[in-house]
Amino acid sequence: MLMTRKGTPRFVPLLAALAMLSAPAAAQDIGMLCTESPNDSFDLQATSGYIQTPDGNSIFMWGFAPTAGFFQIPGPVLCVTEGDTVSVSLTNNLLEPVSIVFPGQQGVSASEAAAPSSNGLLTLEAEPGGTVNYSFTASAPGTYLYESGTMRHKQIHMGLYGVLVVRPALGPNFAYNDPDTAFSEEFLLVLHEIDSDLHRAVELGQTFDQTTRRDRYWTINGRSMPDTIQANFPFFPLLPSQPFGALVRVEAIDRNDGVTDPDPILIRYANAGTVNHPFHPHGDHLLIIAQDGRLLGEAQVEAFTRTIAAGQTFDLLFTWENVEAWRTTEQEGNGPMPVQVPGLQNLVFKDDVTFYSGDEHLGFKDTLPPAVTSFNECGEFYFPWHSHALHTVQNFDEGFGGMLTLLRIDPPGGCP
Amino acid sequence: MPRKPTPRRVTRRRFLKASSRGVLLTSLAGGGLIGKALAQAEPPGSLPRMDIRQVATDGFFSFPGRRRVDDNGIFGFGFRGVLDNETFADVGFLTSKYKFAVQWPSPILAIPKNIELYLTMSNLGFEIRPDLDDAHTIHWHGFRNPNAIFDGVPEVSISVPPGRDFPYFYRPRVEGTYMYHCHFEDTEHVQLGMDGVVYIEAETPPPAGSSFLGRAYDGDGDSTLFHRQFTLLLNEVDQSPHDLLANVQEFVWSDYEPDYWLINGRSYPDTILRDQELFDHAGGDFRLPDAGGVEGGPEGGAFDPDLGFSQPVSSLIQVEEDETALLRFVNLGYEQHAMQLLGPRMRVVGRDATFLGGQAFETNTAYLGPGETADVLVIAPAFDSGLPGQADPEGRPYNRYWLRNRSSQRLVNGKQSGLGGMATQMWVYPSGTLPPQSGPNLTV
Repeated sequence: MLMTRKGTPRFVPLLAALAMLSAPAAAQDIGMLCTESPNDSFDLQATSGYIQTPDGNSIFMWGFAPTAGFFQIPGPVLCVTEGDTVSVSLTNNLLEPVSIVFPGQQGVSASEAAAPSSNGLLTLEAEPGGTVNYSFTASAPGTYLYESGTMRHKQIHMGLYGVLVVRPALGPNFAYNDPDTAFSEEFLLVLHEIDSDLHRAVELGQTFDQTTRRDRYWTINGRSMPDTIQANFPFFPLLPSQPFGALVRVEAIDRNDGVTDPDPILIRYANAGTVNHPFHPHGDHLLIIAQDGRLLGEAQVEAFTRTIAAGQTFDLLFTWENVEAWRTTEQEGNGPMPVQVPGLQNLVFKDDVTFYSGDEHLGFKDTLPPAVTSFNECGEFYFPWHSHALHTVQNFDEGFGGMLTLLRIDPPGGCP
Repeated sequence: MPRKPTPRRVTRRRFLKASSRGVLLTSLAGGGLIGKALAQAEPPGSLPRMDIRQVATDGFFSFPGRRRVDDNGIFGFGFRGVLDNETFADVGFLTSKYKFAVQWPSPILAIPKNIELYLTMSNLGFEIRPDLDDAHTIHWHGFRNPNAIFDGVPEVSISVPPGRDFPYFYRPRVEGTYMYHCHFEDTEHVQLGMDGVVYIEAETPPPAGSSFLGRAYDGDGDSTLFHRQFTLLLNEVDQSPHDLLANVQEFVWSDYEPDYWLINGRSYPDTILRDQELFDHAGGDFRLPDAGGVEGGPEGGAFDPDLGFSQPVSSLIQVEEDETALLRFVNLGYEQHAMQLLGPRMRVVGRDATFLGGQAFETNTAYLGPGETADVLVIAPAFDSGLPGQADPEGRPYNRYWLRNRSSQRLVNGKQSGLGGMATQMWVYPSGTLPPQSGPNLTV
């Protein structure tokens, strides 16, 4: 079952037709988009295409895409349930051998479904034009990567990666077979990095010296900030080959409103890149409950940064609580804000745009200086969620980009 | 959508008037510990109040091979403290006094738990780049922030333009080691030096009659007691963006490739300088003269003790045998760092301001990703005159243990020959030879 947001997603009528073409089974504007199959059988192709970066660049990529669908980065999020026998077929539409490995899965068998294929270093590889079938039993719930098992120094970097989510027998609203892992909504954040020179060399059929690699773009779910905060395809239609948004959205917990212990949201981290990324949310700590598809148990811990090593996954629970109860209500007046916020004449906003509402209280908006555009909808808060290797929150040479997304805190009850 | 009632705005004058009552602040012009003393809370505040003032400016730092006296210092930005009696001074006065008197690291903030902290930051503008109108912010990294406006991210709240100031307000609730830095064009401003350590102190005093100075965490079952504490802020410096900025040029940030590695704003061997030797070191290179800039230089005059030093914080760990040292590691570089102590074991009792409890562990190498902190206890081994060491400038013998980055490529100072970079030392003295520590990192 898929988690969907409350309320009617915008743009649905407009883009319903497009939605029919994309692989995910249900439309939702933000959050993790699952691809499910009634018999846990998934047909993928390795193919090439282009992604867009926020600075206007367009980068040649290889990716796993639905055989009947379009090129996309990252590959579809394959959602199965613990105990399922999963079958993934890979058709090679590239010009060199390709394969899939499933780190964290045991007993993966591979067989040729359509010639040609060949034995590779790690697994059976589909030669160009061929199809290979991979099959395994999803034995343990959790978040896992799937990725190329062939020429990995090039192919993973080129974009041949995706995420496998194994749901527990306990139910789809739990991360693991533990009632404490119940969640209300789930968000997937897959990290990757791009050296555009390498991609250019592959596109032109040239060789590339891996020792000269220097990454220029850093992505979450295949997008760089500010594209990360745009909605999923097709709700944001302009990035058709990067269908997954990375905005994390949660309603504030305010115990003054009688809201106690709601289910947290679940964040699934996966580092599909080849370098480690220190990932840091503002606003509150994470509760890290699992690593690489295994519950941490007694070792679960709160943290404000977690360095996700290349190939690692983490599962985190997150809530945001208005710990000082500063939200105003009409009854309470302006609330106990302790400091004076500067007047309009003393406020400047970078490039005259802001996510600030003009009012420091959660759920309220107020006037902003003339010519300033606010993206704020109803007085919600925004906090960055980003890599703290700060040279990676860049789009080549442009800041507030790269491996960065936003955490959106809606007032209790959501935006009116 | 509900509109809030007309706000009852507090004028700046009323704010200052209210806050000047019963406020105490300790700030050292030379950096080091800021602020512990508290005043009585006043309505509407329900908790004790603490006020801290910081200013943001630019200037030059000194590293081996890049000395200020040679007109070859490294350009940077930074936050710095002001004198106690300047906590509520006008930004114009502070600009005339502190502009161009940059410091690295930003003041070490030792904050009691369950108080109301007003951290007012003033943007003094840049001396070397008057063409830049960069705003600044203070982002308390890791703070469970109930309001985006105090989180200090300019794109999603407000920032402080030159000539203005803003009071950031916090109610610190959870003890442990955090960090703070500017989040305006953060890639640039953090690399340029606008960062420091902030930690929240545990409330529970050490057991009565014990010799301990404090503890890292409340509810620790007496497992985080310490005698002396040291903050260790890790950074790298890529000279290129610093030099390019000083010369009105742009840097491509994905070209980032550091060539200096720092602890507390200095690279070895400057890291092990005692405060007592700082004045004369490298031809007085750390002294800040009364008009900022470089002492004896075209802009600056004589040393001004109010301004202190460009890099005032020592990383020398002085401890008596059998004492427990608390090392508060903070990584605000962009690289991951593995810090190795050769000799005594390190016990990691906290990470990211979270008490590890039964998950505490011992290691020789503390690993820190960017934006991570670790609270580490080290029990000093017995002093042994047969082990490596010598006598300090006061004639007191000590054993020497190295604390340094495991990556030897980060133990260099640019293209200088010899050991440099992210290394410091722990000096273990015989019992009864050291006076007590009066603040974190203050050498004795």
